[in-house]
Amino acid sequence: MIQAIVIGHSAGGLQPAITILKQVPTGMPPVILVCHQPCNSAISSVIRREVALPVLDAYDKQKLAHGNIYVAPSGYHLLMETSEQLSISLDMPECYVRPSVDVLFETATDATDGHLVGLILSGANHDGSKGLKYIQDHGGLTMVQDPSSAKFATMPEASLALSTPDIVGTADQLANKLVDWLTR
Amino acid sequence: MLANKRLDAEIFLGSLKMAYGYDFEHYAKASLNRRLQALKKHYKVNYLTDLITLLVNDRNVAEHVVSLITVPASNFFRDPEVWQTLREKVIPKLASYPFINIWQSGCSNGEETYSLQILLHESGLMNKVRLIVSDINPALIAKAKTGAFSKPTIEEGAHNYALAGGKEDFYSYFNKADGEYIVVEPLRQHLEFFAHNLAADQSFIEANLIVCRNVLIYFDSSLQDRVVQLFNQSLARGGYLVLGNTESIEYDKYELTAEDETLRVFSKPVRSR
Ligand SMILES: C[S@@+](CC[C@H](N)C(=O)[O-])C[C@H]1O[C@@H](n2cnc3c(N)ncnc32)[C@H](O)[C@@H]1O
Repeated sequence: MIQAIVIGHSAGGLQPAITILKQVPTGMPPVILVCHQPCNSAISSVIRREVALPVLDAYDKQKLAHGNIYVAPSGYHLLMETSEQLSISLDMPECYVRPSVDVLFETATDATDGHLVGLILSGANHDGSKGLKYIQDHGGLTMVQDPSSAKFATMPEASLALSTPDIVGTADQLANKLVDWLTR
Repeated sequence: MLANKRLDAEIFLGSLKMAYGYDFEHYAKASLNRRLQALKKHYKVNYLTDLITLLVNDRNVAEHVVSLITVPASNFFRDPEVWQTLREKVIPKLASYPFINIWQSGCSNGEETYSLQILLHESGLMNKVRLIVSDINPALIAKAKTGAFSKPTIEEGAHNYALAGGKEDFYSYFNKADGEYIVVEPLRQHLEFFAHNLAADQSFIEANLIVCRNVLIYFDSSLQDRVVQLFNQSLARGGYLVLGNTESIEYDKYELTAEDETLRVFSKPVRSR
């Protein structure tokens, strides 16, 4: 049983993220998003305009609910405290970034005992590769945007160098497969 | 988390508590666990329990462990909108009092302490303020007292200061010495530092303003509850409480009023309900 969907992206990753989020049916496990843009509340309003599911700015100790999308606040790490609750930290940046995808992915894996899906999309740094490997090592499902279809290939390529994801594809292909997993 | 990893952490934290009284039982688990894993790397051990002999026999190790698991990250004027609200809405309200008590808890290296001092100085209130500054970590308090900051910290501070509506020359609040920036003497006045642990210690003040940002995020819900009650007890009627931007409390439950919910500025009503 999938308990959470975690997505990490950076430069060039917003469009593919929206493509995927648009396909997620209602009532699915919570989707949690970390991106590196300086003002993430602007990101969440862009997503809100395009996507039917409720898009929430994540805050500390927030309860997670099915059917919602949660976006990490800028300047803070976002973590999964339990399978039903988020938390926030101001710990040092990892991979030079805060929020860091690795931090979300690793804590989400611990919180769900590996019952999750992790996605890495376009981006210009290495953040997320360790986290995606951690998800895979603990039995979770993993997806990476095909570097040739990504505006910035560094982030997907870094993930491919560390792990062998279940699916590598365009945003549309990832979306289809994700819906498949969620609804089967 | 794997059961043996959890047990390893619990035994280690139990020893820290028994030997020195530092209690991290009610810290939020996800981030605490990451810092404990980093601690293992730092000391090059496979298990935290390998560290116990060293820990209980050497206070310096204990202090160092406390430093690593409480997080000293801070900035001058972090989240500038909050500081603008303090400057434009909160401080003017306090200005009418003959005497103002302020408690800042979780001072880290003092970035926020001196941000507050700058606002108080610019509002002309310095002379009637007593600013009490606390943190769990004595090493941080010692550091904050020195008022010495690095160049990148000051540069970022100048940027945030302007965003927060600051009109003066931010650099004029520091003397440059050996590549460091030291807070000028006038901003060090009316300032008292002391070690206070929000998880264990009692209320000691009746404050007109309490600033405690990005400390509650490290606590689980039950400890957050204890601490907000402590703040409530420590607030004078009409006093303000300012928390971190992502921190949420059930303020209603404590009979606090939200002055600005997004910025986490609360107040204690003048009359009890
Ligand atoms: C992330 S820093 C926040 C610094 C600053 N307030 C800010 O927001 O920029 C957290 C601070 O809380 C302190 N702290 C952690 N646990 C504490 C406790 N139980 N009591 C008092 N201070 C604590 C840490 O030592 C650290 O200085």
